[in-house]
Amino acid sequence: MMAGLSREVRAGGTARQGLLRWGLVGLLLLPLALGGYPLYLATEAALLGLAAVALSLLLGHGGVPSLGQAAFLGLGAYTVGLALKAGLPLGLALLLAPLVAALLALLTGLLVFRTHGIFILMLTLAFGQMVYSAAHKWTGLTGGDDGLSLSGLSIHPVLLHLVAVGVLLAAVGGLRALLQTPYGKTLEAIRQNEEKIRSLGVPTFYYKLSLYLLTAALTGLAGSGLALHRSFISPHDLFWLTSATLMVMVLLGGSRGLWGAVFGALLYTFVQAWVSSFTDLWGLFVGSLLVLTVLFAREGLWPLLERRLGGGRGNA
Amino acid sequence: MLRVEQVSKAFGGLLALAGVSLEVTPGERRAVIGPNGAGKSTLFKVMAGELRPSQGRVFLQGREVSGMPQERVARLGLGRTFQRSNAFPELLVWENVALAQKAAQGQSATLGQPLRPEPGVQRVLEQVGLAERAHVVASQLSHGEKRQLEIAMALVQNPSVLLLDEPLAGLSGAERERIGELILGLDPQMTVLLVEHDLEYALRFAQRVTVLHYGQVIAEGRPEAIRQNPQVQEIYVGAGWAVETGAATTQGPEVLRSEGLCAGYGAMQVLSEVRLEVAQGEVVALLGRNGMGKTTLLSALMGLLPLQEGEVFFLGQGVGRLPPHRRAALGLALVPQGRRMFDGLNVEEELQMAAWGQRGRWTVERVLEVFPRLAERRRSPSRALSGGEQQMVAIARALLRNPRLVLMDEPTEGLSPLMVRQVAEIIRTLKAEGETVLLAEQNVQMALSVADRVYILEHGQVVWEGRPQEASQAVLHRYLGV
Amino acid sequence: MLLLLLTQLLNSLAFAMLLFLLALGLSLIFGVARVVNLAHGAFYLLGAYLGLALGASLGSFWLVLLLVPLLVGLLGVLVERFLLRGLHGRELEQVLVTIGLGFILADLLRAFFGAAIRSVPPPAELAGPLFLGSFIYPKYPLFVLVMGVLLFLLVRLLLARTPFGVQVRAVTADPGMASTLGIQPARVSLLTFGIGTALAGLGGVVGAPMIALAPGLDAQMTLFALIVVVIGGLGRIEGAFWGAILVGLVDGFGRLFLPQLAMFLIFALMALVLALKPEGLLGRRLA
Repeated sequence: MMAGLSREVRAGGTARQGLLRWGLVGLLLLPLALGGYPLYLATEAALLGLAAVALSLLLGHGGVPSLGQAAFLGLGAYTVGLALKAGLPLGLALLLAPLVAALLALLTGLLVFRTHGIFILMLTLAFGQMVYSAAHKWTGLTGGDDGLSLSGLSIHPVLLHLVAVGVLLAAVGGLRALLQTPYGKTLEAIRQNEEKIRSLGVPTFYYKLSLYLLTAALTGLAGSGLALHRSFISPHDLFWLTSATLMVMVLLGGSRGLWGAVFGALLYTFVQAWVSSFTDLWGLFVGSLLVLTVLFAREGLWPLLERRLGGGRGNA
Repeated sequence: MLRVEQVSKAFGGLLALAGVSLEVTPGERRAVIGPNGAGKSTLFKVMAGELRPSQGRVFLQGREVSGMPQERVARLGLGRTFQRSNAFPELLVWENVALAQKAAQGQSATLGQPLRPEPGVQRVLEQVGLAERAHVVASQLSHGEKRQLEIAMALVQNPSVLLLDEPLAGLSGAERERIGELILGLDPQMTVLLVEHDLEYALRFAQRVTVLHYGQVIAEGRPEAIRQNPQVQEIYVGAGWAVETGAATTQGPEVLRSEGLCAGYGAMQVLSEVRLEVAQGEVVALLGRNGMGKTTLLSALMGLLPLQEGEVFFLGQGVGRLPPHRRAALGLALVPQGRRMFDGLNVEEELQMAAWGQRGRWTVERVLEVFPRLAERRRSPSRALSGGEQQMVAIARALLRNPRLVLMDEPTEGLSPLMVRQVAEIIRTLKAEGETVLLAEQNVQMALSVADRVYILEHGQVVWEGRPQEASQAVLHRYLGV
Repeated sequence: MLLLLLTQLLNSLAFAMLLFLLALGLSLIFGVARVVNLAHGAFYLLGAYLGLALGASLGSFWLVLLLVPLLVGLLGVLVERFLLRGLHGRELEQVLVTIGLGFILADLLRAFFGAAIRSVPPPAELAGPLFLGSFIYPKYPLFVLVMGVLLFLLVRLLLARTPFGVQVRAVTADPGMASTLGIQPARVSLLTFGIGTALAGLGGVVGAPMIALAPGLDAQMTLFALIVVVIGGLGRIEGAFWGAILVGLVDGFGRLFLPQLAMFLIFALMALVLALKPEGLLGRRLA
C-alpha cells in the first residue's frame, strides 16, 4: 500500500503535490496518538471520506449529480446491523452491506439513467427519501425513530481506525488506477461528450449504471463501517441532509478530485464537531458552507491549496 | 452497402425528409448537396440512428438498421463526423483516438491496464497529420486540427461506411486545403458519403451526386450532369428575378456601422474584421454560402452573441456591450432565422407583446392591414401557422417595435417559391415606407432584386461589396453559385 | 362509509390546493429562471411561522394573508438578485445554493421559534363546522379549497391576459428572442422568483391551521412540491394544478387504505412519470 502511494506520488504531479497528500494521510493517522474524541472523529472522517470519494467519482468523473447517496450509506449500515442481529458473522455482514447497496443502485439506476441532468438530481433525491421513509416507517425491522443499536459488538477503536484509513487509501488508489483504464477513460468521455462516444459505438447507459453500482457499493461499505463505529444507526442518517453533506465534502475538495474528497471529509468533520460544541444549528452550518463554497470557491478549496502550495495542475 | 428506402422524417408539423430513397455501392464516393434546410443533415442522422425515421427503412450491408440506437449502428460499421467539431475536450489527442479504437474493438470496458497509445492510433494520427500534437489537450487544438481529430477518430474505427457532415465548414486557407486533400485521399475501398456546402469541392470529390430540396431527391447523377442540370442551378441561384437597377438613392445618415468585428462560438472564431455600413432608407443584402457567417453576424449585431473584438455603432452610439433588450430599445429589431415563434403564444399575443409600450407608425391595426392573413389567424397558436404565415408574424413583430433598422435573417428559408415572392414584395413595401433593412439571404436572385447594396461574406470575412448591378456573373459564380 | 369517503375527498382536495400553491411557485420559477428551487419548502415554513408571529400582533388573519406573502416574496427577490443571479446557466450550482439556503432558513426558524410542534388554530371567522344536511365538515379546509381554485383561475387569467403574463410565457419559451423584443429576461426572472416564493409563503400562512408546524416540514413540503411539478409538468400551471390534485388524492386515499404505503405510492407514481414521460403528464418538451 505504501509503495502504491509512492507510485502515485510520482505519477500524480509535482513532488510538492505528493507532499500535500502525504500530509493528508498524516492528518488521518495523527489522532492515533491522541486517542479519545479526536480519534473518534478521525475514524468518522475516514469513513465518510470513503462515501465522499465515491460521490466524487460519480459526480466529477461520471457527471452524475446524485443527491441520494445517503440511501446507500444507510442501507449499508442497516444491513450490517440486521445481519449481526440475525447472528451472521461479521465478515459476511460486511460483504452483504455493499451488495445490498449495489442492488438498490441497480433497481433505481434502471430508471435514473433514462433521464439526465436536473432530472437525475430529482430522481435520486426522491429515491433517497423513499428509502428514508421506509427505514422510518418499518419500525418492526429497523426500530424506526429509536434506531438500531449494535450492542454486543466491540471493536478496538485503533483497529477500526486503521482498517478504515486503510480501506480509504486502497479505494483512492484503486479508483485512480481505474480512471486510467479504458473503462475509466470511457466514463470521462461520457461525461465530456456523451453524444460523441455513443456515435462511436459505446452503450453509455451500461457504463453509467455500472459506475452507479460501484459507487453505491463503496458507499454501502462506508455505511457499514459507520454502523460499527457508532454502534448505532438511526433513520435520520438517511435523510437528505446527509446526502447534501456528502456533496459539501466533495465540493470543498473540488468535484474532480478523489484526494480532494478526502480533504473535504476531514475538514468538514472536524469543523462540524467544533461548531456543534457551541451551537445546535447544524443545518445552518452546512447550508452556509454550501452556499459560500459554491459562490466563492467553486473549484473547491483543495485545488486552491494544491495550486498555492503544490504548484501543480490539481487533478485527481 | 448503404440503402435508404422511402425515408420520411417529420418534426411535429415540419416534414424534413419526404420519401427519400438512395443506394450507395461499396467503395462509392457520394456527395449529398442541396440548399439550406433541404434535409441533408437530417438524412445523415437517420442513417446513423441518431433519429428514427417516421417512415421508411435503412439498410447497412444488407441488414436493416432503421430505428436501431446509434451505438449499435456504429458498431455495425458506420462511422461519422459531425458538423461542429466534437471530441473530448479535456482528454489528450491520442486518448481521443484510442478511445474510438477501443470502442470499435468492443474493448471500452477493459479494466486490466491503463489506456495506452497503440500502433493503430499512431498510424491514424500520422495519416491525418496530427502525430506531433498527440499529447496536446484536445480543447487546445486549432479549428482545423479539431477537424483532423474528428476524422482520425472516425478512421481508426475502420468503418465500412463513413458519413462526413460538412467537414470543411468554417475552415479556410491551408487548413481547408489540408482537410480537403485528406478526404480525397481516403482509402478507395471505404464507402464515403459527403455533405458539403462547398459545391466545387463536392463535385470534385464525388463519383455520384444526390441533390436534395425540401426533403426530396430532385436529381441524382454524375457530377458533370448535375452541374449542368438547370433545376439544380435554379435552386441554388434562382431564376426569373430582375436585378434592382433603380437610381442610386441619395444616401441617408448612417444607421449602423461595424468596425473590425470579430465574433464566434466559444473558442471558435467565425467572423473576422467585418466592416459594414447601412444608411437610412437602404436595403442592404448580406450574401454568402451556408456556414460563411451571415447568421453569426446578425446575431452579433443584435447582441445575442458577444463580440470577441471590434465595435458596433448604432445611430452613432457604440452598442457592442449592450444586451439585446437595450439595443431593441434603441431601435434595432430582428426577424430571426427559423422565425422563432414562442411556444404557447397565439398570433395576437406575439404581436401585442412586441407592440407593448411602443408608439409610432406601426401599430397592430396597421400591421394587420399589411398582413391580412394574420387577422384571420389571430387566435391560432403561432407555432401552428404555416412557414409563410410565421414569417409574416416574425416580420410584423419586428415592425411593431417601430425600429430604425430591421435585421432579417434568411426570411425565405423553407418557403415555397410563391411565398418567396411575397416576402420580396413585403421588403419592397418596407423600402417604400422608408424602413431600413439589413437582409441576410441564401436566395441570391431574390436578394439582388430588392437590395440597394450587397456585401458578400466568405469564411467570416467581407470579400465583396457593391451595388447589385455591379455583381457580375463571375463574382456570383465565384462566391455563391454553381 | 360514503360520508367517510366524502370527508377524505375534501381533505385530500384541500391538501391538494396547498400543494398547488407550492407547485405553482416552483413551476414558475423553473420555467422562467430555470432554477430548481429546493428551498421552496423553507419559504413555506417561513410564511407559516411569520403568519403565526404576525397573527398574534396584528390580530387580523386577512391582513396577515396579505402581508406575509409580500415579505416572503421580497426575500425571494433578494435571494435571486444576490445569490443566484451570478450563477446563470450553471444548473447544478444553482440547485446547491438553494439547498444550502433551505438549510439555513430552516435552522434559523428552528432557532427562533423552537423545535416544538406548533399547531395553529384557524382564524375565528373560518373556524368551526359547516352543516350540509347530515354531513358535517370543518369550514377551514373548504376555504383553502375555494382559495386554491380561485387562485388557479386568477393566475391563469394573469398569464393569459396581462402583458406581464405574456412576457413570462415568452421568456419561458425563448429568452433570447424575448430579449430582442425589448423584454428584459433578468427582470422577469427576478419578479417571477419573487412571485413564486410569495406563493410559497402564502401556502405557509394558509396551510398552518391544517398542518402542524415542526422542523422538517420544510423538507417534506419541498419534496411534495417537487413531486407534483415533476408529475404535472414543469413550467405549466395546468400541470401544477392537476398534478397537485392527483398527488393530493393519492396521498389522502393512500393514507386511508394503505397507510404504510402512501408515501411509496406517490414516489412510485413520480418515478413512473419520469421514466415514461419525463416532461410531465401535461408538460411540453423542454428544449
